[in-house]
Amino acid sequence: MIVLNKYKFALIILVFFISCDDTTPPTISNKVVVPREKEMYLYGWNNEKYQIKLSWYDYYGCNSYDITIPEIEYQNTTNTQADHYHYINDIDYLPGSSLMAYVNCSDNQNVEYYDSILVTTKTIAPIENIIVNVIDDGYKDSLTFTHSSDSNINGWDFYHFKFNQNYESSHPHYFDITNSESGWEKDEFPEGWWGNTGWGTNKLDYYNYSKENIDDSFCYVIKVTDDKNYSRNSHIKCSDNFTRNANNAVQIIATTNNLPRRIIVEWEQYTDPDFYQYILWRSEYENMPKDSTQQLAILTNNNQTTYEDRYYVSDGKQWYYKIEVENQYGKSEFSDIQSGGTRP
Amino acid sequence: MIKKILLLLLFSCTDLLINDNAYHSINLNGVSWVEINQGSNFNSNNFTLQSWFSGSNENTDEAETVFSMLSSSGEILIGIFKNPTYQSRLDIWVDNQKVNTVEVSDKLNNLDSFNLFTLKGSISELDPTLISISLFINKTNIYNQSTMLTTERLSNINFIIGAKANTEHTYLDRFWHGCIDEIRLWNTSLADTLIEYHNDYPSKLSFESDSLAYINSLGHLSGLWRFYTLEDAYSTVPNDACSTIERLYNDNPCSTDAEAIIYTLGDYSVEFSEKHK
Repeated sequence: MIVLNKYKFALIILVFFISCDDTTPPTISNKVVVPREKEMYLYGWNNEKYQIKLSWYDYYGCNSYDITIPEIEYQNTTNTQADHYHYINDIDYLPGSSLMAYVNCSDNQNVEYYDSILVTTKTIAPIENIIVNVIDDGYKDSLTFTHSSDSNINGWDFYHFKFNQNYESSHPHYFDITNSESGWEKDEFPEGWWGNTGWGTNKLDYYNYSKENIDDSFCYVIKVTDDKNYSRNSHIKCSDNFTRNANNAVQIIATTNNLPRRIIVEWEQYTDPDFYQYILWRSEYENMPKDSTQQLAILTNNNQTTYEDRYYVSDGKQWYYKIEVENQYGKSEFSDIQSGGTRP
Repeated sequence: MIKKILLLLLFSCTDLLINDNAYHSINLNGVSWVEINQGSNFNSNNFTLQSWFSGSNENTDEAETVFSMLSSSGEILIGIFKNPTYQSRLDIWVDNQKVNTVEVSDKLNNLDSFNLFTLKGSISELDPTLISISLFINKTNIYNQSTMLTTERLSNINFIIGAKANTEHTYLDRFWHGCIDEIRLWNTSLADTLIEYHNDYPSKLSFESDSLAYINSLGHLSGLWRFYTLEDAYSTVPNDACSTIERLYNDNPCSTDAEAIIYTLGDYSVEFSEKHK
């Protein structure tokens, strides 16, 4: 009798759960298969100096790809369809240059499509934070500084420019060692920087310049050269901390708004000879708050006035840009903010 | 025993006996879209397309399409896209150019909150070969301009709700996450006051009840797709335009071959939803 009741109870519970089971919404599938387009999206970046990394999306599919960078006479071919990336690690070309890279579906595939991208190589990190101290009762200037963060620097050159501290206009406008009448001179025998003491990991982090006259005042530039014989100057630093503003801001004159997955930014050229570098900044937000703004590129060639932004731009998205121009005294001017977008 | 079971059914699980699960919309979910062909009696000189839609807070880094019309070569003839950074902004594209970005009062990331989208096309007053476009979100006119689009360029181009796609499906991306409740296609350019009325009374087609309403607007209704179902799924959405008109105005015959079709991407399927405007 008890067993029979148990069965009844179980049946009631079962009916309860079955009958109360929620209905599932109707679903529909009406399949459309997206055709494969012959299009490729190429991306370029670097993590280190003398390096270019390329990767690409290819929606069509190609068995092998030809990679070319004409300016450095580089050619290579990937061997498998799976390889959608290519890294070049030892470019012998001036750091901070912009190079056009091409990736083509190889000719022997009978399918012609390609993409190209302007990639900028990493600059040499310069010497920074120079502080000029007067020592030895005024007969020496002692410069302390932060070394270049590059690991392959093996040459340091020290330049000075004598100015009259009674005349502000006697300070140098810009660094120029190519002109013998510019006023800039190289210290051919920098104290402590020849022989063994200045090299390797034990390199000095100061430089002393002995003056002929106690009343002389100088501005300085320190140039670093790496093991590929490419070099970069520091900012100009004067003993009286004189500084000079950049001549003018440069404005962004064009941004694209209808290209897929890329935005091309173009700005005015800075023509003053005190040019040091452009820094391109980007943000998702129109007022470009500091904590949401990223540095996109440092460009050390003042003729380079365009940049192709493909870094996580995504489609249908708006980005905001400003260009900073920095002069050789390290003083900056910023452009107005301009927006650019990609095609949805 | 049987009596007890029946009693249990009656009291605890009434939904088994009375099916109250009505579905009013389709949840596109980023893998689906709705396509409206213009139909043979489409009036390219004066037309209105309306759609109630809700969005979702799906975190995508790319634009999502509220509405698009693309040429066969992929040019965006007309497009409305949700801005991926600012969730309450819509980017308006006309003739392959972004022409405006507008802030909408309601955020577009609430699946339960439906907005009325209205596209009006009419012959330009400046040049009768060109089309003027007027766009509304709810009651707000967000765009109203003469364009360089001709009726010829817009002819036989499907209206796409929820994806950026051309009629041939050779361009197909930027899918919408959210629900589409009702779509209406009119072979006339509706008055702004009527669009406001539709926004305020989503279940009504006209604020007039006499025959003038038929002459002025209802007679031009060539598509009414409600996405309503109790349990059956369909990809070709029933067009209730004629049945609605004939029910209201017995004397006025109606015919239309405009179609709304739900498409899904690849092997995906999508669900009808109980959510509604």
